[in-house]
Amino acid sequence: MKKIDFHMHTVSTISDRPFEFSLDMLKHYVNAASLDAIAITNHNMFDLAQFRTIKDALSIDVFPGIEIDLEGCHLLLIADDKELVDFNSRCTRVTSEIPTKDVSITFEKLIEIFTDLNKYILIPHYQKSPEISPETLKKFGSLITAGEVTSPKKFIYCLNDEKSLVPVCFSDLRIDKRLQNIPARQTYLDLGTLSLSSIKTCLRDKQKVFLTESDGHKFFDALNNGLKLSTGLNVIVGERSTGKSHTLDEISEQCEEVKIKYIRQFALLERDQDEDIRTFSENINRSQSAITEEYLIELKSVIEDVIDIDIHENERAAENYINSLKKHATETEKHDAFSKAKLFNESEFTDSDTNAIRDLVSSVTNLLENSEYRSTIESFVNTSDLQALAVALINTHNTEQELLLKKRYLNDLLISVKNDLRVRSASHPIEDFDFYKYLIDRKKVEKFSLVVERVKKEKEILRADIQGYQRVARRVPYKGAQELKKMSKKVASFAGAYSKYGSPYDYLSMLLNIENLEVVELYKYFVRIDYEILNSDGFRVSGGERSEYRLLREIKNAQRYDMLMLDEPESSFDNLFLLKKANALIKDISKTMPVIVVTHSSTVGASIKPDYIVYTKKVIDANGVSYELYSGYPTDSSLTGLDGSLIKNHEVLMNSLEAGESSYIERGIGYETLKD
Amino acid sequence: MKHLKIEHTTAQYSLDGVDWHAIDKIDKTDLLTLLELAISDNFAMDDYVEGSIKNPAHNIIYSNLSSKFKELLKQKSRFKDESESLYKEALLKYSMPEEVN
Repeated sequence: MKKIDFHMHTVSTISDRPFEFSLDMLKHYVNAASLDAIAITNHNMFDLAQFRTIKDALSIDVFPGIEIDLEGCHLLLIADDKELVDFNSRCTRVTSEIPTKDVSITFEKLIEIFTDLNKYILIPHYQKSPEISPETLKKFGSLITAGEVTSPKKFIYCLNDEKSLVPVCFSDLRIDKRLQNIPARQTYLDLGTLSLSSIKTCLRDKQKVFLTESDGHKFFDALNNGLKLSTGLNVIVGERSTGKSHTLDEISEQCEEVKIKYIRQFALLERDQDEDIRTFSENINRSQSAITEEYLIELKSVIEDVIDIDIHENERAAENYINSLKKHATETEKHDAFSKAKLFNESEFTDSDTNAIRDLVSSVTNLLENSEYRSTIESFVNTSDLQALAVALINTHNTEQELLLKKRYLNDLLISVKNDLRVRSASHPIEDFDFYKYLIDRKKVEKFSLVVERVKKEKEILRADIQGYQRVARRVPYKGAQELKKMSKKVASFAGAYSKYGSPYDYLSMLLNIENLEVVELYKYFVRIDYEILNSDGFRVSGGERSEYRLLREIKNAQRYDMLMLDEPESSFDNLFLLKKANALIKDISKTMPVIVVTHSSTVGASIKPDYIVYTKKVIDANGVSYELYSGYPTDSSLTGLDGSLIKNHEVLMNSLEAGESSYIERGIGYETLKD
Repeated sequence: MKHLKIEHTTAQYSLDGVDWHAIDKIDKTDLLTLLELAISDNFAMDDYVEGSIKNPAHNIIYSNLSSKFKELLKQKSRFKDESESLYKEALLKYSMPEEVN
């Protein structure tokens, strides 16, 4: 088995953050990670002189390489070290083709530069940003067999997915002289001799790539000190202050490219009850805002329609019309040739749309085109009648549409002529007033009031089950101006508006007068949607239950990550809860990604049935304090230290989870006594 | 019920079909009431015939009003359809069980 890292940077290019390369640091990294081979892969360039220096200084195999910006992704191209001059000249062409970090070359240009891609190992960013597109990958055909991924989760996913490339995991490290964390992100290849061709062969076979040296595909190197962990569920146990949280922190630092969901100790614990209740309900309401929006979308669209209606203006228009009509009629002495023209006072045509007939055409077409319910439809209406109806409706639609267009054209003409006549006449013109629009606007306001009246009635609108809890949403009317203000998060006063809360149209008008209120958000001021979480008995959740619910949500959210870490989840929960719900969830999630749980609780530590156990031990000697790590399967009689020493598993579990064997036995006797 | 009529060469209007008023007495409130009646009631009126009204002012007012009411009455069924479908989805979605008809 050979351990390789074929992605690292030794020159600070325009694509990197600035760093200062250190050969000593590279030597330190190669030793610390026990690497058998590396490749130097700087961004779009190859430094021949530096490469030779590195090669001379290291006793392991060093391959020349380059990381190329290609069609929006990054591609590692690794060459044999026998044709360095040729490789260097080709890389120089890449450098000149990619002068800035926003430029990338095409697949065709890559072939033009490197001619025969079969001579190289090609590894694109695969489940790693910037990722190769399926189109670009297709162009390479069998030239690419392996892809670089960022985490054990993605590595395992690619191994199990038939269509995925062979995964490899590399450090992508900048060998900076100030480098502090040496990542445990390398790949093991199952081969004897290291050569470009043997590595190429390995990278065609998923059975030949591993994340650990000897434990198959079920483990990965979590720390550079040799600690390996299961790609499933790991439990870290140990007495107080033995470095359990420290180990988690270290893993999190060394796996900086891996997206880790880290739920720290006490992170979910309730500290101030009132504050917690407030934050909890705010968070719930925020996370449910999409549901609120979806529920109120019809109200929103009604408001958007009504917002342009000005009832008072409409009434003024009626008054102007009747007054101007009477005035025009009585001032006959002022009538002249212009005012006597029929068009002087002609009303415009009502601009009626053709939506109704269009909807009818669409309904009949739906009936005709539906195949799923064909037999039901045909048992009532025969298809030829439907076709005839559709044709008739389409003809009517076309006629109406034509009429509408004519009316619009004539209205434009009418307005123009009317204006010309009115400018020349001394007679008082009759103001326009659209009878139909007045009536339909009134109807809209009336219906809008009815919609608001309905939506304001308190009602449960949603009840959903989440892990034994119930999420309940209720619509409730606002109880005062303060509630409106709180919801708006604005400085404005809502007292005036709220006084009209009972008359929806007037209330809407008042809201429109409040500065800085977004028109598209006005629907939120008519009714409040409250969410609450109830426990399985249907009561409001207690402080502990709030923490539990948060934990369950956090664990569920972890699905979007590559690894989940939980530091003493038991710190604020009762055991029964942990046993029943959290353990099941943690187990489930560990089927898709590595999970690491630090615990003192036997409920978590033992009942969860982990795949792997790590035991931490504090050692104080003449050299100071150090932390030792032992690991093994839960069924192993002994756990093995990083230096090969052994420790009894039974003893470890008794001391870490049960406060020692004697306490465990004593408790057992106590329980037995109670039982009797 | 008839609301606009020409009788003995005079133009008149009525809100209730009983009390009749000269057409030049119509004001905004009466007009808006007539509009509501036109759309909800079995509204009827005498057609305007050129030369049938003696008073020139009444003639102009009646001619204008009747043509506008005539246009409105033509759209009565459209108004009914449009009103019934107005905000239907919202009303249905937000109703309590007993409000669904």
